[in-house]
Amino acid sequence: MTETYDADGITLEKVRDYVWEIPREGDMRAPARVLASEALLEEISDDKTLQQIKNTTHLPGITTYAVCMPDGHQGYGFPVGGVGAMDAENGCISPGAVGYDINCLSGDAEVLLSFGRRRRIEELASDFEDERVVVAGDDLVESDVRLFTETEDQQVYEVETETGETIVATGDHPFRTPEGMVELDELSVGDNVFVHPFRGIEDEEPDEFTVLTEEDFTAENPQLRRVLKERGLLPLKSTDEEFNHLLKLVGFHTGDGAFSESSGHTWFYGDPEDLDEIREDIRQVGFKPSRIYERERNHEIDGNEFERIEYSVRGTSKAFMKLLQKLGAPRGKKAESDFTIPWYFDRLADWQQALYLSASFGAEMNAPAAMADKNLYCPKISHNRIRERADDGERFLRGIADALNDLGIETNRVERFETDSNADHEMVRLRLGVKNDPENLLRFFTTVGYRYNRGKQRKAVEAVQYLKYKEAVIDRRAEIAEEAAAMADGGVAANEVKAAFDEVNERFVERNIWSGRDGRPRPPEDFPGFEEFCEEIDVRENFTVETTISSIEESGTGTVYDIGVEHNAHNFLANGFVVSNCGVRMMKTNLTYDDVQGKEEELVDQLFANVPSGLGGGGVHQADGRELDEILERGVDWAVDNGYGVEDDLLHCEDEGRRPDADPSKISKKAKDRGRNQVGSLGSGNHFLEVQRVTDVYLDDVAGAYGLEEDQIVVLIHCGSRGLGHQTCNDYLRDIEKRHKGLLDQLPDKELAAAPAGSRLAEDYYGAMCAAINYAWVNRQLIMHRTRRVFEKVFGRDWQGMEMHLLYDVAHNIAKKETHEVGLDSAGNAVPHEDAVDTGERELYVHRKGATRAFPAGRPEIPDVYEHVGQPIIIPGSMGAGSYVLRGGEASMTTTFGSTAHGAGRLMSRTQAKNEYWGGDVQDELREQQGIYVKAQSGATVAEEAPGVYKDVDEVVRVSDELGIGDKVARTFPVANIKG
Amino acid sequence: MTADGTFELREHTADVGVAATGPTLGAAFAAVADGLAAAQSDDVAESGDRFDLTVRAEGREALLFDYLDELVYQRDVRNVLPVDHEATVERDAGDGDEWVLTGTARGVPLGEIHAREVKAVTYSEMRIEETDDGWEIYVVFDV
Repeated sequence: MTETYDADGITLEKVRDYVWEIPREGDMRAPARVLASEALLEEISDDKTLQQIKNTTHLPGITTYAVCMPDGHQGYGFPVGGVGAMDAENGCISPGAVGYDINCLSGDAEVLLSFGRRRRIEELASDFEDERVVVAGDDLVESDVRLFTETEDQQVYEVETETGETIVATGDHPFRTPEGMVELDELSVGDNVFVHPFRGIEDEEPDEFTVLTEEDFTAENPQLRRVLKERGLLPLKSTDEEFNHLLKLVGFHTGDGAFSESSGHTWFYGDPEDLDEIREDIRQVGFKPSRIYERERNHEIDGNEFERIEYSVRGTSKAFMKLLQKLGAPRGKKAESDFTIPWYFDRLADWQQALYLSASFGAEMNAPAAMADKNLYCPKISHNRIRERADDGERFLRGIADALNDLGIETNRVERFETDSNADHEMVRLRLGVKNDPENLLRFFTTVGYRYNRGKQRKAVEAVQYLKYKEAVIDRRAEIAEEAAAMADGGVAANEVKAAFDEVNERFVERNIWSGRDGRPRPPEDFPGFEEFCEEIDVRENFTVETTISSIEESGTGTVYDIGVEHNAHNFLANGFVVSNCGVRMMKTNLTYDDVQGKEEELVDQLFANVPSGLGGGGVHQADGRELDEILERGVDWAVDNGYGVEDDLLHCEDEGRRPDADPSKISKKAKDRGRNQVGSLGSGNHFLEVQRVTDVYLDDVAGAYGLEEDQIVVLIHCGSRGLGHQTCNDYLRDIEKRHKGLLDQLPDKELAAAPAGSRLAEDYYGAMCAAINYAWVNRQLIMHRTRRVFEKVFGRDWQGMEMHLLYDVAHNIAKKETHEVGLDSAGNAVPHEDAVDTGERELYVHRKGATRAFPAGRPEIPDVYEHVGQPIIIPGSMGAGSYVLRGGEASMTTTFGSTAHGAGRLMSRTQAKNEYWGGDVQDELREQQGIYVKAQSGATVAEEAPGVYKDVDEVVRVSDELGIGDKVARTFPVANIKG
Repeated sequence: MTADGTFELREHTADVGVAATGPTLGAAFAAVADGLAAAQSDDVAESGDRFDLTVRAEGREALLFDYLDELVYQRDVRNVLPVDHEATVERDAGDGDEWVLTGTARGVPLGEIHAREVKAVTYSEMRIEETDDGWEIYVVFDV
């Protein structure tokens, strides 16, 4: 039996020692894990820590699990000590018209839904959670909708393409282009975008009726009935999801299927990739499809024998066979059968009829093709019946014609001809064609078209683009003809009229001004033929094609809508918890405790006087004008160039002190205002600078590589990106709130605000956060360098002589793009293990809030000097307790996305601490009993940070060490501490 | 202190909570701001000049968030602790349906007092509720 731990309404299951899991339930998208001993669990079981780690699993795109480090405690949004990783790639969604990611589109933009339905985006409001939309990833796939938003009074633009698609969207609406997603503001006339020409049929609620009941299967054995009932297929209603899948299968099978009555097999024939889709639909109905079979067949046509490989797939359940037959799939030889359109067909919603029709066209109708060079042939469906059954065959085709006519698609009369008769029967060939005038063909290809036949679907896309392009050219010529005639009527000389329309040849103008013309002009001579056109355009695997923007015009203001989808775009960059990018660095010295004893008071006073701290204390450097942008852009590189450090410092910093993805332009003026005078300042609260001595070494070889030994003096600096980081965080929190309200409303906590990966906001935020991280590194660098100067003064030696070198600097409030091995779904997106079909490497946004990256030896991200031993991790303790140096543990990659704890974790509120402790007493006690010299701007800060308010850092580190996520290397103990 | 609003500092593990009441929404907002000041300094100073501020947002909670965020910003750029808050809150139901706060505060120079930093306002557990006597608000600040 699983051991459990009950914590105020939340039950944790023990996975193994120190690993607890909160299983997935409700809206959780992944399980949550807590890494803790029972003693540590007890400390968080009454506050909101566990609820918060649970809440974080609601974030779309979370992979594997959210995990709480041993020092976890209650924060806002994410718990402090929380790690979560989300898929970092962008996905997109496909409305019928231009562009994909529906960022902000006018309400009448159409969205393509599952089962070939389309709906105006504004009409998704009521039930978007239940809908599946079609997404153009690499392939065309369906995806759940996870958010819907509506924003009023937005400036919108109407975009038109050369092939006639139009859409109204806001300036930040991204369009898929050959260069990736590009926002409308950055697009201009002449640029290419991808479109997905298939629109589908307008969505409607089908009439509910019972299609099949148990009664229909009374002739069958009870087991067969049970199989169907178990799958929820009896009774079968017109509104059942399974029924829609069945309509497609029946439609296709009627064309290219067969039954083996004796074995109970249902065969489908087609190309392998189309058969894969059929397999998926068989699965959706609840049956297991076979693999795809392949066999060589010899054919003889006109005396020529040739070989062909035939592919097929079969349903192996007799119940499945009977089900299709009851739904109208013909048994036996089709030519001898009396089948017609299924009996229930007239009662179906239009889109349901289209499912059946398109599948049967995929099997039976010929592909779009050129008749004469610039006109298309009418696509036809034809089949043979024996003379006795010819009337049934005609009824079948008439049923199809009626259905198409109801959808606004015109058809030709059903044709009947005598054909080669075989020995036993006279055969009749029946044929139905879709009228080939361009408008009719366009309607047919974009609303019904073909299904289960990628070859024909691709050709239909080419036909649609060809016809639209041709129509657009003809429209323009008609316009010219009219204008030219009007000019001529008004007395303008023929030469001038010709000159005014140099885009057409002179003869065209002449014909129109002299002879007049009835009807629409023809396309020009040099207009490409259909086959020629097809060679030029490239229909992608997802049935999109490139087209060119012909105009972008302001279109006033209006209400715009936004939906977000699960697929790929379900990757989130959580904002609320990447706050001030605080982190720690440790600087080594070659001094020993003996060298410092007796000088502690002077040291603490000098540090306090020289390292800016507290409110309004200014910074080491005032960054004016462009300088702040340089800091944000270049990080520690800037500091070294400006005399606040040496090259060697860069080599010992995470990312060599510079986040390459930083984008200073994404940080607001307000945030910059706050940042200018705080470069090189500690701030207050739990941030501090501490002179420490090494008291214990646990791993000699690693300590050796880090340059640590017992009794050595080191300096630990713990602070972040200050006001600039906090302002940036709140700026984006508010932006996300305004732009992604629908998503936010679904999350259990507003502080979990997140921007969909791939959205502009997510990219902006990532650029801003990386810039803030650079600022934080510079901040700690300037403090460290100032500390070197202070040591020079106090000890009367130069800092190089005291070997004051940086051990490492690592941020512990950060979201970072990193590659990890995770579970993948069939589309290759990172997902929790229980949803995964595979595992593999995937780029993720790894969020560490109050958690430290802990990469083991061998990872290329670690500075070269430490690559063979693993990354140093600095865990600051509280004032009276020790701090630790750990190294990245081997198990961290598989347990915690390469993370471990970041500190002790608070136990007691500040208010309570102030009631329990008096700053002066704490200070005296520390000095007298432990030899620790503390100096702070305010006594209250000392009380608030008293040793008793923190968790036992020893226990936190013990758990990290036991789990193998961060191995204990050395322990340090405070000598002198300054804080704000 | 605001004449007609009151506040209390509440315990919160990592941070500090402020619970405030006021007969009007503006008074309650100002009382939260007084709580923000109290969370940063125990000193009472009479010095400093008053300054005005106007904040606009799309909703009540957003307005409170932006107001307190603005005060933290003003603190850092003016180098003062804003105290003694007054505020009125109005809903401008025109086109944009905006909420508008107009307020004043006295900025006590940070050099004259012992103060520690509240890092940011948060939405965490934020509540704004109308009662029989006016308004009740709860806000958590990141310390």
